Amino acid sequence: MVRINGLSKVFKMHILKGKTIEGFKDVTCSVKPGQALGIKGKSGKGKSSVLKCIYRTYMPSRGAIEYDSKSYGVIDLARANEHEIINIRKSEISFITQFLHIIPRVTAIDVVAEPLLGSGVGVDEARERAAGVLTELGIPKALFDAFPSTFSGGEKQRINIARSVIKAPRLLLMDEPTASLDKKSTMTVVELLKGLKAKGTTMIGAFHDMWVMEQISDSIYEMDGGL
Amino acid sequence: MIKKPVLKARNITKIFGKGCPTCLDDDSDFEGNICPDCKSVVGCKNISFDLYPNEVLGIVGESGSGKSTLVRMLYLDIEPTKGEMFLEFDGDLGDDGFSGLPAQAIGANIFSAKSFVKRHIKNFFFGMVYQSAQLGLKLDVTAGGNIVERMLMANNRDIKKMRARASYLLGKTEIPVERMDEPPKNFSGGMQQRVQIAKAISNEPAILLLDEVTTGLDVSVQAKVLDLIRTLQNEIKVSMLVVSHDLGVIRLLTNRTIVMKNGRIIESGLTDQILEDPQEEYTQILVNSAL
Ligand SMILES: Nc1ncnc2c1ncn2[C@@H]1O[C@H](COP(=O)(O)OP(=O)(O)OP(=O)(O)O)[C@@H](O)[C@H]1O
Ligand SMILES: Nc1ncnc2c1ncn2[C@@H]1O[C@H](COP(=O)(O)OP(=O)(O)OP(=O)(O)O)[C@@H](O)[C@H]1O
Ligand SMILES: [Mg+2]
Ligand SMILES: [Mg+2]
Ligand SMILES: [Zn+2]
Repeated sequence: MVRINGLSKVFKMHILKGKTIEGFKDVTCSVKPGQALGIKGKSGKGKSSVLKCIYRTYMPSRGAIEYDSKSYGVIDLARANEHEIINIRKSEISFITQFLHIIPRVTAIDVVAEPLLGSGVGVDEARERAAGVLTELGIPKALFDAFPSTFSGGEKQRINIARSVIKAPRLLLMDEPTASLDKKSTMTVVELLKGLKAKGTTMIGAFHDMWVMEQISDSIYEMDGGL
Repeated sequence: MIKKPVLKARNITKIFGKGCPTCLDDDSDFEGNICPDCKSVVGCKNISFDLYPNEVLGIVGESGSGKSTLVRMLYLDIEPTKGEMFLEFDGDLGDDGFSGLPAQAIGANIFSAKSFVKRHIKNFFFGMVYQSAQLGLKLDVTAGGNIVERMLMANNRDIKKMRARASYLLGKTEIPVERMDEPPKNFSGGMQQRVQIAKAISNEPAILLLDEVTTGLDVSVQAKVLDLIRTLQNEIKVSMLVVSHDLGVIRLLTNRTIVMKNGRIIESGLTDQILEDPQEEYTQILVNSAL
């Protein structure tokens, strides 16, 4: 489903007098449909950067990311144009980032339901499905209509996860999805992810927590280049 | 699968002053926004981009980089020194019978179209929210009157229907309906901006131009205005051009962003990429000086 070949990322910092920083070098790995790939490596080895390159938040410097997309067939995400990326993000790939970007004045349930609205699901159905995922993640009903800006770190992160999985993406990228969660919520998230995978979602994720990584991953890629 | 752009801007240049080959040639370049030879001010130079259906495109850049000049040219308020704009629309602009583009506008550079074509496009095709409410509203005319006037220009005739729509839009923008017959000069800055938005969407435009809609508003009012824009985005499916020097606003509202400096486009790309992995020096400075 995804074949990463010789992928590298170098940051050119004009503001540091043109200094270059190596994000990661020569990453080659792949994941089959419906499987999960875990990315492992010490801090600073470039796990987050690889994920961001796949999502194209970062512009890869070298190499290819072949993805078997539904909309375009095989496409190199390292080179796809902005509109292709926007469409693929809307309908195929989602990314659980490390932190939730707060949307002012939008309640938890609407933050989660929003991606569905963009794809033509009605408001009532979208909210119902959002309530389902939030319940699954152990968010109490009383918080559904509250604003996430006031939530605890763990609650915010579970909102973030719910928003990213509500559409059951074809490909799910995850950057330390459970880092700010306690044991109990971590277990619920793991169950949720296993369920998604069973329904066919392909996954690539970076995890600090080895237990989580082993629970979810079918194969593991270790980043050992660079620093 | 990828639709055609609803607006294409091609090599749009605006020189304030008499201009000379140095500032007018597409190929010439110099530092800053004052022409070294004729001392004219470069408002915009060689601006080209595409705006797609339902897309929200951001424009960022420091003060004086030409953002307002650009949107005011697109809105046909001021004439470019040179350059072209093409519009395309295949679809219905809502069920109120508002028509799309006049035949004369199809495939033509709008900047050199006849004035009745321009007027039509301005009244039916675009909606504009100006950086300052003084430009966008008649501050002495009632809020409702401002909106009705806009709808009259788009060929509406039924006063009762128009008042009903004005009150509906004011409701949407959270202006208490009982204040509909007050002039906006009595309103706060945030309320004035929201009346401007209600006015700008009253003709169900295909393209909404928003010039610093939240600047100068306090944070809670800002959030209200942003929320309104996001709702519109989901509900009425207009294409939007969002000009702001607030990167938070850009992140929240847009998918793609253009970065301007000294009237030129420095860099453009996916909004998250512009913010997290900017390629150009100027963009890196801009992003790193924000909080
Ligand atoms: N936007 C950026 N600009 C400049 N350098 C960056 C940027 N993002 C990452 N880097 C650098 O790239 C290298 C890899 O960082 P990255 O965040 O990908 O590592 P990581 O493996 O995810 O680490 P951690 O386990 O601590 O999250 C680091 O040296 C980091 O400073
Ligand atoms: N009518 C005019 N005559 C002469 N110069 C002008 C005129 N209008 C704008 N300019 C100049 O053109 C440049 C671009 O101005 P513009 O208002 O487009 O900037 P901006 O990017 O919108 O800035 P801000 O963020 O402060 O609103 C500035 O240097 C400005 O002084
Ligand atoms: Mg990381
Ligand atoms: Mg301006
Ligand atoms: Zn000159």
